Amino acid sequence: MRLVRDKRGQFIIIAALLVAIMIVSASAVVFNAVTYYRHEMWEEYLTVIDGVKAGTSNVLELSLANYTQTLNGNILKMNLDYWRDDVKKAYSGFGAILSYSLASGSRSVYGMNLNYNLGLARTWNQRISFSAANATANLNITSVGLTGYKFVSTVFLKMNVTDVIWYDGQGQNPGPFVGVRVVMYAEGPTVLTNLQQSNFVLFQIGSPGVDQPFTLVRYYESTGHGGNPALNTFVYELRYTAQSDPRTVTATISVVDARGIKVTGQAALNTINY
Amino acid sequence: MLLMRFVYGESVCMGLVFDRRGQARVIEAIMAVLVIVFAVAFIDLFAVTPVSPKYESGELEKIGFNVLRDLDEERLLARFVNNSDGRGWMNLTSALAAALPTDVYFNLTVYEVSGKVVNNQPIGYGASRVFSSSNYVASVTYVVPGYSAYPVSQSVYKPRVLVLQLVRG
Repeated sequence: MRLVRDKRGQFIIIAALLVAIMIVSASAVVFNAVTYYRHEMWEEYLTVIDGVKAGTSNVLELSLANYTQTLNGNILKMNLDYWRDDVKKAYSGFGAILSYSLASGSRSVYGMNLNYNLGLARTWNQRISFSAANATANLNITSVGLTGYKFVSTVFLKMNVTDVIWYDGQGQNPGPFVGVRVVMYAEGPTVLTNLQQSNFVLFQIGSPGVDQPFTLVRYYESTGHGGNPALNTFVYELRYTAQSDPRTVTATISVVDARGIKVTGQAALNTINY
Repeated sequence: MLLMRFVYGESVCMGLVFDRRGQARVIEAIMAVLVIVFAVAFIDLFAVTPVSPKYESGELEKIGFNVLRDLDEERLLARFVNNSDGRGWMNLTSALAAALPTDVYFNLTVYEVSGKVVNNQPIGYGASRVFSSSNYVASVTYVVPGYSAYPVSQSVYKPRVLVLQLVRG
């Protein structure tokens, strides 16, 4: 059995192989071009974006803190102008350019209607009181052609004076004292649980208010009192001594949180029995 | 007979018989090997393995940024860099040393936005030659816009630029 082989056509094979190599080479170049974004050092740019976002949020926090301490309504605009210029200088190698717009007019935030002026809003001396700041920022990183990266920064502190409890001290009951209960919220809204007695910078009873010494008790409320349903949240209770049930209590409370943001709430509430 | 063998593609040299047919097959095989080698090299070109400098540098940048971000969220960073006495820098050094992995050396410089160096004492861990001799030095820039120390002082805008350099030992 002798096989008869055709010796012709080898150069066609070689040509085909060369064409295949050329195609693979061209594919490599095209692949490299279209997947450029995967191999670029994006981590560096992501840290710039995250850094600018974190810094913008910090500027809002310290501006709101300053506003609630001094009531200077122009402070957020002033600080964001500085921040815009400083971002350009600090990240000059990346070509980072930040612009911003401040919230204005009525806006719904976390289910509440807030009336902003120059990005700042506050409603104090109410049963539900708050301090808030809001700005929308736009970031471009010209070195990589990133444009229009938009993010919203919101800073928020809310106080809800929920109720007042009368502890009569009868039988097994503790007392006699009155407990004014408060729930605090930050952005999210998330319940604030890290406040200490030193954060409650003002506690007044009556109208006009008189400073009242108090003891702060913190706990998760899940039982309810006087037939009222459980709050099922973390509460701060400001307790002060009283010889009899005051029936109605007018309380004014100011809180400054860890960021330096202040809110003042006020409520006139009927007591409920422990 | 020899002539016939030569004609049919064989040659005789020192008694050995060489088949002259099939050279194209050899070339084809070489080409095939080249294609395979090229394909392997092509894949390797884009592979980012854990020992690759790209991976290492990116990883250190991530670690450095996260540590600074965590310290900032805990409200420690602004307090440390705005503490005018030496304790702020010492505390910052300790905080970074505790937060970073033990095999990572660091060197932090705090600047004003104008470029003036603020820290009057070194903030770092590891000899300076570690940074000069290393091929891969990761660098992270983080800006602290200001600080709030109420009720001691009002919240103020006072930016500080932190440049953290990291090297794995």
